[in-house]
Parts: sequence; structure tokens; C-alpha cells
Amino acid sequence: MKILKTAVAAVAALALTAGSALGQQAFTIQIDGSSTVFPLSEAVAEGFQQQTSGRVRVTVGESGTGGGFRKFCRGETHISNASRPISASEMAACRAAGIQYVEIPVAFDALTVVVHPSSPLRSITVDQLRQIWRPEAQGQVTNWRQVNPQWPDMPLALFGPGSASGTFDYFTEAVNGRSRASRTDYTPSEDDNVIVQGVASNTGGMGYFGLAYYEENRSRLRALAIDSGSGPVEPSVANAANGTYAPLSRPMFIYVNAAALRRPQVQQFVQYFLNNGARLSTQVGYIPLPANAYQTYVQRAQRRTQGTAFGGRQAIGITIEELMARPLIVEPVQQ
Amino acid sequence: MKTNVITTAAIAALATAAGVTAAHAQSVPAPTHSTSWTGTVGEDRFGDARFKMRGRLQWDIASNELDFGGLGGALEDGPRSYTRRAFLGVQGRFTENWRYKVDFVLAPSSSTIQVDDAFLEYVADDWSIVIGEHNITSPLEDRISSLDIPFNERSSVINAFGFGRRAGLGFITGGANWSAAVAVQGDSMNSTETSQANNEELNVSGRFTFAPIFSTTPEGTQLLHLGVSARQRTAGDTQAFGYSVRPFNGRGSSPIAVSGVGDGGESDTTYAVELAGQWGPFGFQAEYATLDGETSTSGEDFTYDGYYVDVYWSLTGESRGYRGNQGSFGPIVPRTPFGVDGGLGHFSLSARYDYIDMSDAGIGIATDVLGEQTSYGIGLDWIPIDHVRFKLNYAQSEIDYANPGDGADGDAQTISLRTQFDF
Repeated sequence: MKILKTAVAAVAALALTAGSALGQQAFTIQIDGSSTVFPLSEAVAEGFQQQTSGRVRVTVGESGTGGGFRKFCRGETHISNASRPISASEMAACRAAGIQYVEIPVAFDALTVVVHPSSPLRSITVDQLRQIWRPEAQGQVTNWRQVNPQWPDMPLALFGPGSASGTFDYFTEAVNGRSRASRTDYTPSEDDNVIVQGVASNTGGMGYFGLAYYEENRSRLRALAIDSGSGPVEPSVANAANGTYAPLSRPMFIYVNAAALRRPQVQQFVQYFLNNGARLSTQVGYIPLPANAYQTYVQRAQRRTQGTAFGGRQAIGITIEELMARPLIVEPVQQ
Repeated sequence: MKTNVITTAAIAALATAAGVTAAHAQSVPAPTHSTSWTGTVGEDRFGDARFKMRGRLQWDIASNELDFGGLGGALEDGPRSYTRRAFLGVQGRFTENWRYKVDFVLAPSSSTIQVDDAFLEYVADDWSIVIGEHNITSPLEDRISSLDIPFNERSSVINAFGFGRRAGLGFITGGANWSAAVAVQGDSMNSTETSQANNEELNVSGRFTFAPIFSTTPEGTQLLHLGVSARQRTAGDTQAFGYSVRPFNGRGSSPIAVSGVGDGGESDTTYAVELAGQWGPFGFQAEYATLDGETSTSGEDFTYDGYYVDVYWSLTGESRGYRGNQGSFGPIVPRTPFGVDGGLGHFSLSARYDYIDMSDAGIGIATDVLGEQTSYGIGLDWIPIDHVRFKLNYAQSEIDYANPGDGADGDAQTISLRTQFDF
């Protein structure tokens, strides 16, 4: 018995010491999720930490939209970066764990299809993209010429995001008609820099990712204009903002743990994000929302208004006006 | 899907590294079967179907000083070790909706392999139907897996009143912070009764839980859990219901026991209420249950009741995991696993007050001993990494016998150290 008491006392003392040491550390806001949103959140985090002189720390991971939601819905992160809306199964996982969330669109992206700069291609139709990326193309469509006899006789070398990526979910739904339906014989990576590297070093290379990564690597890659029936449209801030870059223009989000928004540090961070969202989006190569949208979302964060405008489903080609007009719901919409 | 992509990626990366273009990797056929890692073991995936092995081992070292009359007599047990539970099982699904789970009990069952959970489940969007051996309507502590219960043994009322699994039909529905379950069940699948002439037992039960406060952040969970449950059951033809308690030990003598052989409960009705809460690292849990029964031979009525109150303090800050749509607690996952970044794993201290009153007359044949038991227990838990747990419990119990003939009032001290892991 004496040994038991001594052991309990020793462990308690040890834990209290460790606990008080932890208590003196700066509060850390944990963020993880989409690698597409990462450059924006990273820029916001840097600015916010400078403004708060290190009193609040921010860590930003990039385990993909799906990987981020897995952590978020286990209560391991305060904020989840997402390049697609929360899915029905993620809504259920969050719900079962007592996690309520506030959905905040932060910018738009022009999902960009890139090829090697030596390629003669300048544009591609959505139908041609489908011929290349659909599941049936697996092992069958292996040469550019198979898609268009005018195109070079060159092996296709495909690079794209992995299945934990929201960009993968969005692209497959927008191009192939079904989320996550894709050929799998390509080189996947959750790290967009790997895709950049792959396409830049393969003359027959093709890949896709967020506009920011193209802007950062313009000299090494060529972006294709997308023709969805009304002629080719270049991926650009202007074309995404005016709605002509369809169907690959898409909103990007942060999902914030609603209970964590009661903490002043988290609330201040989200306010800083929205107040500087326009400037930093442009800086990293994304399309800012209109000023009134940021105002709306500032209020949404302050009021901690829960739910999603998507009900667990994707919305291809949605505009910011349509998005703002949608009601927020907490239950998944039946498929 | 993820694994397909990863496999292809690995092949493509190798091909690229070898100076071959990625296009050469495109002849790799898409695998239709894959293995992905969930929890600690691989899960086989084939289309919508899933299949996964699971298991648990709980090994205890215990020392009991028992000093009471009644059934046990005056006993002083030295330390001994035993396997408290050894389960091996499978879980999976045929489609998104049709799922199954079977846990085979390898120990402490004596000679035959028994089952713990063993059911088929049809899962719809927000409700499911369960067919087989299950306990979906049991009170809170019985609903918590033996891997996640706060002390090595469940409380006196949960053990004494015969909660646990039976075979039958169940229906459960729920939302973010509530659950409702009803069940109709007969004998356990582990029953060895073979005669068609004997009726089996019949259980009709229900449980409702509601959490008016339930939110989780990385800093912890805020929770207030309320629950009620009821069960009405009638014994089968071969054996009446027995009721017995032990003083916080998993093996050894029971100071108070109604055997169920010869006499015992012909039928009984149980009501239970639950209250639990969590405030970051601090938690509490309490249950009260009352049982009204009728004896099988004399037809007399009897009433037993009891309750327990627990408090918990996570020294390393973690909250207990709560499942709002099941009204139940799950595992505690250490914030910093042992050995990672100087982490200690999870440590917590627990305390329990446990009381049961089984002194009501009515049953009184020679093998039955009635009385009250009051226990005080403390526990120290260490979870170095997820799925591995050490639990040290110490408890003192006092036993007051209802009938002087059953022996002098007694007491018991038990100490037990559990080592457990699951996969």
C-alpha cells in the first residue's frame, strides 16, 4: 500500500510539473488540410504571428482536404483547410465526435491544367480532358495522339493529386462527372511541388493543381486554356472572378471548430484571415472574394453560425453570389 | 482507392527514378483488392466490402484480502495472475449498409469458445437494426467497452443486475447528441440449453440518452450526459436469475450472492438513470439502478438497488472520448504518445464510491447470502500509446449482512494491476 501511495504521489507530481510547464507555452492554433489552401493559410499565419508578436503560434499542415477533415473531426485541429466542401461522411464523423463547425469560403481558385512548356498545345476541351483522365482510359490512353490526331506522337506522362486531396475530388467530379472516379495509373502526390516537378521534367507531361502553384512556376510550365463549349478560356484571376473559367473555378474554404471560436486567439486569427484575405489571396495567386462576401463571413465567424451550404455534396461551377445566397444546414442532403 | 493510387505512385516513382518515363507505368492494371490501415491492423477492401481482424488481451495481477463470512468465508489471497479477457474477432461489411461484428471469447471461458458481440447490422442514414448477440440497451457502464471502462471491473449494480449481452433484435437511432434504442432478446448465444421443451428467457428493454452540452476542441471536450434505461425480463424454464457482487475483483469470492439455482428471480424489472460530464481534463460519471423482482418458488417480491459515483482527472489533459449518437464513452487517445517529443502518454487518476443494497428479504435459501456492500476505489491509468493501457486499482469494501446467520460483517481490500492491449 505504501508503494502504491508513493507511486501515485510521484506520478501526480510529475504530471503537475509537466502540466504547469505546458501551461506557460504560447497558445497554438492547429491547422491542417488542403495543400491548395496551404499557401494562403501559411501567408495568413505568418502575418498573424508577426502582428501578435509570437504570443499566438500557428501551425499549418498540408495532409490534403480529406486528411485534414479526418484530424478536424477527431478534435485534433482548430481549423481545416479545404479545397472542396465537407462531405457527408465527414459531416457524420464530426457530428459523432461533438464537433460543430463554421464554414468560411476564403477565396476562389482556378484549378489549372499544365503541360510541359515545349508542348505545342495551347488549350484543351473538357471532353478531351475526360478522355485522358476517366477510369476507362486506364492503360488505354497512353499517347497524346490518341486524343487528337493533330497532337504530337508522344507518351502521356500524367501527374496529379492523391486521393486525400480535395483538388482530386473536385477535378474528377467536374471533368469525369463523378467525384473520385479517375484512372489510377498516374503519379499522385499530396505535395503539389512534386506534380510541378514531374510535369516540368517530362516533355509529354500533364498535371493539375491550384492556380497558385502555376503562378509560382510559370517559367517551367504551360497552363492550358479550358474550352467548355464557348471557346478556350485562360486560367486567370480575372476569368475566375467573372465566372467564365468554367467548370474548373471553385471556392476554397476554412472550416473552423465552432467551440474553438470562443477562444479569443482563434476568433482573432479568423478575423485577421478575412480582413487580409483579399490582399493575401492575390499575393499567392488566388482570386479574392468580393468585399461584401468577406463582411458576411466576418459576421458568420463572430456569430459562430454553424453548418455548411453544401449538405455534403459538391457544387460544380458555383459562383460566390450563389454560395452566399445558400442557407446553412447541419444535416447531409440525401443523395 | 487510396492504396491503388499509392501503389501506382510507388511503381511510377521507381520507374521515374530508373530513368524510365512514367508512361511505362501505365500498363499496370488497376487492382480491385486493396489493404488499408485503420487503427492498428490492416483492413481488406474489395469494392464496398470491408474486413478486419480485431482482438484484445487483458491480463491481471491481483491480490485480495477478503475477510467476510457469507459465501466466501475468511480468505486471504496472495497475489495471482490471470487472463481477464482474451478476445479474437472480426468486423466488416458486405456493403455500405450490411455490416457484421463477431468477437470470440477465448478466455476466461473455461472449455468452450463463446461470443461477446456477435451480430449482423443493417445501417441506414440515422438508424440501424441489430440482429444477434448485443447489449445496445444496457446502461452506460455496460455500453462502454471493457477496454475503456474507468476501473478494472464494472460497478456493483451493473455486475449484479445481470446486464450484458443477449441474442435478439435491436433498433437504435440517434443524432449528434442523443440516442434511443429498444431491444427484444432471448437467451445468450452462449446458452448451452438444448431442450426444445424449455422456454428461454425473454428481455424487453430500452435506453435513451441526451447530451445537452457536447462540444469538442483540441483543448478538450465539454459534456453533460443524461440517460435513462429500463428492462423487463422473465427467466427461462431451466434457471432463475441470479445476482451477485464482488468487492472490486474480477475473480474470487462473492460476499453477497443469490445463486439463481433452486430459487432466484423468476422475473424482474430494472430502471437505471445515468449522469456523466466532462470539463476538459476533469470528468465524472454516476449511475443509479433499481431492480424489482419476484422469486421463482415463493413468488415473493424483492427490491435491490445501488449506485456508483466516479470522478476522473486526466493529469496529461486529455478528455474521455464520447460518442453522442451512442451515448457512450470510447477510448482516450494520448495527446503526446510515450517516447514522442518527450511525451509521457496519458495519465489519469480516478476515484469511485460504489454501493449496492441486496438486503431485501424474499430470497433466503441456504446458498443465498443477502446484504449491503460499500466500496471505495482509486485508480491510476497509464496509456503510453493508443491501444495499450495499464490500470492500477485499489479498493476497500465493507459488507453488512442482512441475516446474522450469514456471518459477521466483513471487509475486503483488493489491488489489481491490469495490462491490456487491443488491435
